[in-house]
Amino acid sequence: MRAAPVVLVLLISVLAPLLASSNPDGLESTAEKLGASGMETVLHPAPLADYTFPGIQGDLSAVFAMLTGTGAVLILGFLAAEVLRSGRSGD
Amino acid sequence: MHIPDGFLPLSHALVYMVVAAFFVSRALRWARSGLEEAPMLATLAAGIFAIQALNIPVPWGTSGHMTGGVLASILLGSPWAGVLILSLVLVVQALLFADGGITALGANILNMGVISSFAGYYTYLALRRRAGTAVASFAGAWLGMMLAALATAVELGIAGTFPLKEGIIFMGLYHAVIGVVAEGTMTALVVSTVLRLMPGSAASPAGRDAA
Repeated sequence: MRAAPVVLVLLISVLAPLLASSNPDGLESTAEKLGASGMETVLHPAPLADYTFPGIQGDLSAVFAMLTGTGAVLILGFLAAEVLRSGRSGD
Repeated sequence: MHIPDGFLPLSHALVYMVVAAFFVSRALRWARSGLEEAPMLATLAAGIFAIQALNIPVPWGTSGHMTGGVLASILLGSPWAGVLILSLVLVVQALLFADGGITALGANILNMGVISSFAGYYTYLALRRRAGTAVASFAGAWLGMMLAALATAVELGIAGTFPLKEGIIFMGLYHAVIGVVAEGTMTALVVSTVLRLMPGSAASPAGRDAA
């Protein structure tokens, strides 16, 4: 795996939560305008809910949560792609 | 525009899951035969996860982020790449972050993965020779985001969560702007940069066409 793109992705993961606007997004704003915000439910205890890392406060919590998520996507994406490609010879 | 749990009745959510599952299974079939590089798919998926956290402020006190399905499709040369990558990102966001509902996963994959990727990628293909890759990728990304936002509004209108007309107006208005400042601009920027660094990549006019 080439290093430069991965370093860039990790850099975005660290900077994004520090730079991101905390305004509600387009769907949340629409829901507020149309009185539907209260219908939102959470069905399961997500370990990194609201992009915070448990036991850590402030900006660092968001950065750790993002790095965990980015790492998870990177590993799952790599494993999935390898498994899919390895099945090719059997076709 | 991640739909949370509670916005769609379970029966509607199940219908969207079945439709999404059909497209995801086709995307997996594409990956089995057409995917060239595992590291590229993984890095792109992680990059799209990361950039989705960068909410950019837009007027009316709202904000929005890039969703990335069109970018993934252009860079890997197939809309199935967008479906596959967005599905992976949306599953991780729903399970680990409660960003987008578990029951709404089918609808979210359908909107941001399938509708956005297909509309945006084929718009890009249609325009890139005449308008150039920068303009074509901007237009494709903008349209992909708009159609995903409108599909979301229609789904929530059918569900009775939003009044249909007002939902379409607000979702359309917000995402018309988010589509310019986030999706369109960033997609055009990344596609142009990748083409400059890797002129032979799938995104180039000389690259391979849709699978």
